[in-house]
Formats: sequence, C-alpha cells, structure tokens
Amino acid sequence: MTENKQSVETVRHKLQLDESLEQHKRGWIIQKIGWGILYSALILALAGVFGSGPLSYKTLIKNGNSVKYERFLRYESEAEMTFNIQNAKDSITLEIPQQYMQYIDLHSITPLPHSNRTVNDVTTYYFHALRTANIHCHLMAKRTGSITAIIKVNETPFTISHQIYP
Amino acid sequence: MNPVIRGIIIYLFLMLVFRLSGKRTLAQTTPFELVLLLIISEVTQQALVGEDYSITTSLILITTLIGVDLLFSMIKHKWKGFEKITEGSPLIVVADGKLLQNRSRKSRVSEEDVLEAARNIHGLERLDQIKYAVLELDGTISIIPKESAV
Repeated sequence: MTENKQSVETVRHKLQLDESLEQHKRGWIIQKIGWGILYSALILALAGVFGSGPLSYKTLIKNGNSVKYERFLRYESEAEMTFNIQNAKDSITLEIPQQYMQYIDLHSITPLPHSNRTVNDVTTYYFHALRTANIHCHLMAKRTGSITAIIKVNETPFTISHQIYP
Repeated sequence: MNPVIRGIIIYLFLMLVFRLSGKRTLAQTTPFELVLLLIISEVTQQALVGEDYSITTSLILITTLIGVDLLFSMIKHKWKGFEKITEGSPLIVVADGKLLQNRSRKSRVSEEDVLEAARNIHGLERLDQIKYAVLELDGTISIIPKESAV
C-alpha cells in the first residue's frame, strides 16, 4: 500500500473485488461538476428562471395602463396576471386571443366581467369601471412550450410571452 | 405530458441525481435521511401522477418504470462498463487497520462510520481489528475483520 497526501492510495488486496480506481477518480471529478450544475440550477430556480421568482415577474406599461405577469410558468401550476387601468371611462374591455387560451387556462377573473363575446378568435371581456381599476386573472398553464400573444386592455396592446416548463 | 415520457424523465433524473450525490448520500444512516428519502418519494409521486389518479395512468407508470429498469438491467448484464457508470464500483476505505485518508475523504466516509459498521456487524472495538472495510454500491460499509479479531 502506498500513501501520499495528494493521490488516492493504491491497495493490494486479496479480495475478489473489482475496484476500478481510475473510474472512481473520474467519478469524483464528474461528481464535483455535477454538484456545480445542481447548485447552479438551484440558484437559477431561486432567481425565478423556472417561475415564481424575481426574474420571472415582468411589468409592461403603456398609455398609463400596465400589466404584471410571470414570464416563466410550469405545467399545471397556477399564476396571476394583473392589469392596472388608469382613467377608465365607464367600462374596460379586455381582449384575449383564443391562441393564448390554448396554452393558458383562465381559471377566474376578479372582478367578474358583466359580459363577454368571442369574435374572430378573440374573446373580449367587458367590465364596469370608473377611473382606476385592477383586473386579476388567475391562470393555469395547460400546455408546455412558448406562447406569445397580444392582449388588449382598452385598445392598448400588450405583448405577453410565457415559457411553460413541463 | 404523456405518462410514459414522464416516467422515463423521472427515472433518468433520479438515477442521475443519486449517482452524482454519491453512495453515502441517502444511505439511510440516520433517521433524518430516511425522512428525506420519504419526502423525495412523495415529491416524485406528485410529479409522476399529477392530477391524474386513474388506474390506467398508474398501470402505465408502473409498466414504464419496471420496463426502463428491466432494460437497464439487461444493458448492464451485457455491458459491464455501463453497470460501472450507472452504479459505480466498491471501494476499499480501510486496509490493515488503517483508514485510507484520501479514499475516505473523497467518498465522504469517516472513521466513525467505519467503526459504527464494525461494531454493528462484528462487534469489533477498534480500527486495528479491521482487515478491510469496503464501501459497497448501496452506500453501506462491509467489514472484514482480521483473523485474530474474530
């Protein structure tokens, strides 16, 4: 048996045992790399690259109206998209294309719209509102992949993109 | 997602993570590790089944997991190199009553772990009574006592 402070000890033994020391050495290196990847993935998850984190949340502002939503979603997980409307005059219209709803299930809308209609594959929800209003949409991803859609609030178009993980 | 694909992904991911974490991780050496293993199995079960509690999905998933495992065991049987990659190989950590420092450090086996195994299996009292201690594939430590210690 030889010992060294740096190298892995070589053992001469009579056991019927295939140690494959070289493979162990390679394995320890790969393990370290693997741990690096695992911890990197954890940090990315904390940051929100896989959803529910600061990197995932995005806010778009146009004409005084804004929308806050999550860019990264997970399959069958719930998320929220909130529209903030300024200077509403009597009513608000929220236009969501059907293409968007193929990927995202609109679980509920708060407050409830007083009516809706679908024309040319675009569903429009109508709300009674005056001046400032918030509309909360509770979503659930029902398909994996990428979806980009233009959602209009009082004729203001917002380009919403989601990356949905399996 | 198709349950077959889901089952294969989960199987491969678990195999990769357990292989990367090393033999000693989750070798159920402490009650906490046993609890951790149970939590992992619970999370895995949710990812596998999702919202679909049908018997059909369960049958598909069981068949998938057994099928992949069977396929892997056949490949391992035919190609020994594959077995070494997926499961590793045993490692001697004590020889002639001396702890092999670099081997034990890299495989995260402490002198206490070896002594515990020596006490449990053979009722040995000291390290110098051990001829060989081997870290096995499942993370357990096998003890071969010196003839004088038996």
